[in-house]
Amino acid sequence: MFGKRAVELINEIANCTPENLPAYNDELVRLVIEEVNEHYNQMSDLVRSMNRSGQDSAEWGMEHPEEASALVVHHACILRNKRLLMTYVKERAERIKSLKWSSRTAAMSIRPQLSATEVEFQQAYDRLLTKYCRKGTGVGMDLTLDTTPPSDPELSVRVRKDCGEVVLPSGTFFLKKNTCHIMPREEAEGLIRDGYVEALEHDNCLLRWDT
Amino acid sequence: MLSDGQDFYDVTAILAGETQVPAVVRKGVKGLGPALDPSCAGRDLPANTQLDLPMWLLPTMAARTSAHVMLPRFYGEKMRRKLQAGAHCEDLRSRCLYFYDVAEALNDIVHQPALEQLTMMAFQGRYRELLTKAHTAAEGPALTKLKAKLTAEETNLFAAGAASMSAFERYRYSTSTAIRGPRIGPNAQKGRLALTRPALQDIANQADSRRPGNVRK
Repeated sequence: MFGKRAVELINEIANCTPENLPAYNDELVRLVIEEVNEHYNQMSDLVRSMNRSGQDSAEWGMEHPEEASALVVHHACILRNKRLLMTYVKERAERIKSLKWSSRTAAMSIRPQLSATEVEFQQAYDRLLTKYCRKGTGVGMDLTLDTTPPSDPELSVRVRKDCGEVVLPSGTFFLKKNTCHIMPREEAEGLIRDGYVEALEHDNCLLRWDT
Repeated sequence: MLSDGQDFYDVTAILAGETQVPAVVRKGVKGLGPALDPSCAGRDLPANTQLDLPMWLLPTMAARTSAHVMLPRFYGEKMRRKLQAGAHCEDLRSRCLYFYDVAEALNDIVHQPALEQLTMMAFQGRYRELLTKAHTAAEGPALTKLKAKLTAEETNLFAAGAASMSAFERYRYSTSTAIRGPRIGPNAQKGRLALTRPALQDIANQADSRRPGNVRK
């Protein structure tokens, strides 16, 4: 039956876990393309015979229903194979992209499974993402580090001990006891862990000395 | 041919398209006899041959009245009686892995209200138990037995139900992710407590009740 080889390609992808990628099946892709070419040749023969008859397509279809049916089947098979091949390529490209985000090591380990074009695509995607994450040309932070973003990049803190003037990458803070400040979470984290400041809880939560 | 709302690149829809559906080819097909029907002796497929065709080929052939599409046995009267007797017991997976997707695609071709009613009855009969088990059942032989009966669509629904329950439990029993100060050392936050407003209110009420002369009625 037609289209069976192309379905094997889709089954390869569907039966593989999202963290893995099967090797690019060059041989099967070549066979599917050969099948499409075969359908095209047979379609061309039928169209030539239609043209030779000198009738228009509707008349020819009425007079030669068997040939018209064969034409329809060949055309449907070509469209089907095209859809399956495009889905195969697209699914693999999506996997390559998602592996770049989920795991850096996995992205490198699948390199032997890729075709030459896919390696080119992976390298171009890497370059694009690196450029976007770079400080000068993009957002200035590595977006692949955290798959779940923090709720708030800034944190409200209250100073527990006088520290004087503290210079942080985001600016200079004068940390006087019981004053409150808003500072970037990654800068506040070190001060909190050292006990100089404390994170203010959510509005509906109060801190008090236990008596 | 794509039906309305169907994604061109949808792998599930593609695999569902491989389901074999019985049909009668009204007009013969030249040169494709053995390819369409392996039991065909000649090179051409004769007219009015009954054979099983893949789902993806049917819309094109049915639109040009080259084929008359019939409902597969798993949408027949016998299945209807089985579903009426107990839809949740029926092993639909072994009949057709994409039971609902294929029914939806077939309905665009055959336009039979009975098909809609049958699939609706199957889904309604199985949905409640499916979702209850997804929320409560633990991994084990009973769950494996249940999963073996589910179609691909139901398996996705089951996985979504189980994921929603685990997400709820993670939220319900999660501890605060707030950054805490040191518990030991010179800057330790000994004796500190984080209390919510209701907890503080409880403490204030208890203090009031213990105060001399403050008798609550």
